[in-house]
Amino acid sequence: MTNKVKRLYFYTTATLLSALAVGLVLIALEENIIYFYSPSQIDQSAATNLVRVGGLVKNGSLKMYNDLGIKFIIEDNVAEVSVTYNGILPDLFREGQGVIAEGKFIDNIFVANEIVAKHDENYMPKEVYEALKNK
Amino acid sequence: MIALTGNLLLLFALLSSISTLIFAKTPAINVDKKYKFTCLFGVFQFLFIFFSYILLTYGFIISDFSLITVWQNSEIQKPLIYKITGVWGNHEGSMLLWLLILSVFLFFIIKYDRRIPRSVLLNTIAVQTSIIFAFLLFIIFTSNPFALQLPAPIDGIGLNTLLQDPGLIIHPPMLYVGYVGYSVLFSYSVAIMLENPQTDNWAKWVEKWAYISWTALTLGICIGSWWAYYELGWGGWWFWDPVENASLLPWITGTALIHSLHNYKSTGQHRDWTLLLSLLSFSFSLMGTFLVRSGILTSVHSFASDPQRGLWILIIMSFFILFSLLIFLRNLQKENEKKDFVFFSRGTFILINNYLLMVSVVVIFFGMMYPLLLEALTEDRITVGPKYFNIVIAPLVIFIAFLMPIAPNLSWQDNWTQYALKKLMISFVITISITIAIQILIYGNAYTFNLLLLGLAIWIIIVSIIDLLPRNLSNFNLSFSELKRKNLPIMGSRIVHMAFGMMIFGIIYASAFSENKDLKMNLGDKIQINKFELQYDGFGTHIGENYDDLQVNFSLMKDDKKVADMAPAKRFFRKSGDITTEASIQKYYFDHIYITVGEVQEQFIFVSVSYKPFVRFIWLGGFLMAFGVSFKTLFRSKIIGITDASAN
Repeated sequence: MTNKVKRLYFYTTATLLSALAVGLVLIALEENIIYFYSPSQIDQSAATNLVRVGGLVKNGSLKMYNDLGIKFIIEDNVAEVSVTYNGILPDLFREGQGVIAEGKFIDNIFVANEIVAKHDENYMPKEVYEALKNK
Repeated sequence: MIALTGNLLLLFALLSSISTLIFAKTPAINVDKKYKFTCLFGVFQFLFIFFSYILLTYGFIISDFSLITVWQNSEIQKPLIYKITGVWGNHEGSMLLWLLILSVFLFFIIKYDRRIPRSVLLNTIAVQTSIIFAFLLFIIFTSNPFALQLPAPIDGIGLNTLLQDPGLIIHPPMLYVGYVGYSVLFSYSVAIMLENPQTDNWAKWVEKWAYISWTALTLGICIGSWWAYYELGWGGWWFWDPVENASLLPWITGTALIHSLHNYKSTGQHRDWTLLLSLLSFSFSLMGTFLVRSGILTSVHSFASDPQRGLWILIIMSFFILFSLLIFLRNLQKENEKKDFVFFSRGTFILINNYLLMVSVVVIFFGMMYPLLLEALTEDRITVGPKYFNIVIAPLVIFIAFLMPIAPNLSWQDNWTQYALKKLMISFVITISITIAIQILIYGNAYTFNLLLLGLAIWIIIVSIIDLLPRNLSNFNLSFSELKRKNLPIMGSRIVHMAFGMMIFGIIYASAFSENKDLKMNLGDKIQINKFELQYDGFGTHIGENYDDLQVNFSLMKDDKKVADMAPAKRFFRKSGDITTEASIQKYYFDHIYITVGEVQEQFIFVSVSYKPFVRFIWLGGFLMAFGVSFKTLFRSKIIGITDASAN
């Protein structure tokens, strides 16, 4: 084979592999995107996938029950979502402040598996800010 | 006073950069004069920026609250060390630090690169200066750290409590040195494209900058990861957060660049691609800064921010990227196609390395930007989960890890040598044996996929070690100088490769075999985690300089013998009332026991306990990688001497 043909083979293989990679990426993406909703946007019966819910932690709604269980309500001045969470809360979690919870709806209760933490107490997640602004 | 002097210093710096540009680019001035004055004003830029930075630090130390930046981010009660490091714990100060590092690099170019041809050097200085100029304008008009308010308040608001930590002392500056280091490569590349010097030596000129930036970036990322691990109390080391990804992109292109430079230096192939990689690395650095500073992506790193500033950085970023791409496209050179194409040659493998690394860049970039794209098109708000990144990166890492130890054993143009083949075969057998031993002795039920990845990590480590062994083991009386001659040139790269293997090993092992328990404990309760036992002994307080700790005491036991006392804490900052979680980490060989506490009550506590085997390999590997490249940088002159002498 001449050098030209060899090079051609090499770059063709690279291109085909890239196409394969693109395919895999799209499949991986399809399965792993997590939608964000504010409490008023969410259709609880439809949302059985992993989703994020963001808003304010309703004042006076935080309750601890047996063991590590925690219950609170996320609100956006229009609607409310009851959330349960099992585990240790981030330090910046406060009533009346912005929060994002990640989890699934099970029997109309949002079961969070993660409360998204943040670095800065003055910082409001952009999604939460806009979700509240539109209300 | 400070405010006025500071503003004046910034103004002088601005005037110096304008003078530098004028002297560097006016054709009428004779070359010697041009060079002399360009360098002189270049040094002035550095000095003025340096003094303004010192001045701001002084403002923080004496708590001059007439400076808005100091007032917003400091307080009298803060420990001195956090007053000094707090300078870069906020937007204005950190941008001034960014500028300072830009000018320090300019100073280094002027001081250490004197032997480079004048015409290239002048252009390099000019490009570097124009970057400084742009950021000076940005600082003066949107983020002036010397903004004044009168009368001065009595006390400041205080530094974000999470940032009052030793990790912050070096994480941001290191990361910045890495980011900004690529500005030097950017400047050189633009200068090289403009001048088009006929020698191919330029790979040697810019090589050290590629090493220095890469080392700093690696350290910066590692320290950041370590900081997130222990200070934020999340217990994870990488979250595929947009800002983390933004620092990973220049790291990956920087890695590709080091390899491509090596290739170009040795074979003279892929000149344009190498130049493009330096441009890309700095573009990604700018993008990283833009993302952190604009708050455009939702990230744990997002601080309350001003969109106006994001727009400015976006303009600066677009300008430099477009400007450099335009020059790049106008100066494309025809590739030398005459050389024989040999698949099993080091050059081809470096090309494959670059290909795989660039695919990683594309998939990470895509996952990072997809939420923005989708929001712009459909108004849906989404996050791309960490799983996406794991799924797409894993196959790429498998390819990279498999090929990584093979490439250095290939020669530049010919096919295999007998010796290299034999060495790889032996290594392969050893690797398989160790992997099977792990499967049988330690985990009878490990997933095949994890085992494959562990095996690949071991493969890298084994080959790297064998590469450094004397060629003939039976004849061991090799003189030291002989070993030095053979090993010094390859030592650095083998250390880096081995360290990468260690890191992969740590990541896979810790992810696959970690154990975690979240639970409620009463006084005296014991829990079992892996081979350890943990007992809750009660709580006490500890008084710090500006905080009080509520410490929870545990005894860690193994085989009924006490190994260590552990005391995770809740830290209450007196002034702000902020609470942070202080994790307690006990090392046991390469493993960690990691405890954080949640609610602490009189009768019970909530606690999260983890056992993380081999987790220390992750950072050990990272630091060793940085060490390997520093080794290469430090012994560079010697290495070049040796390879020149032994070139055959």
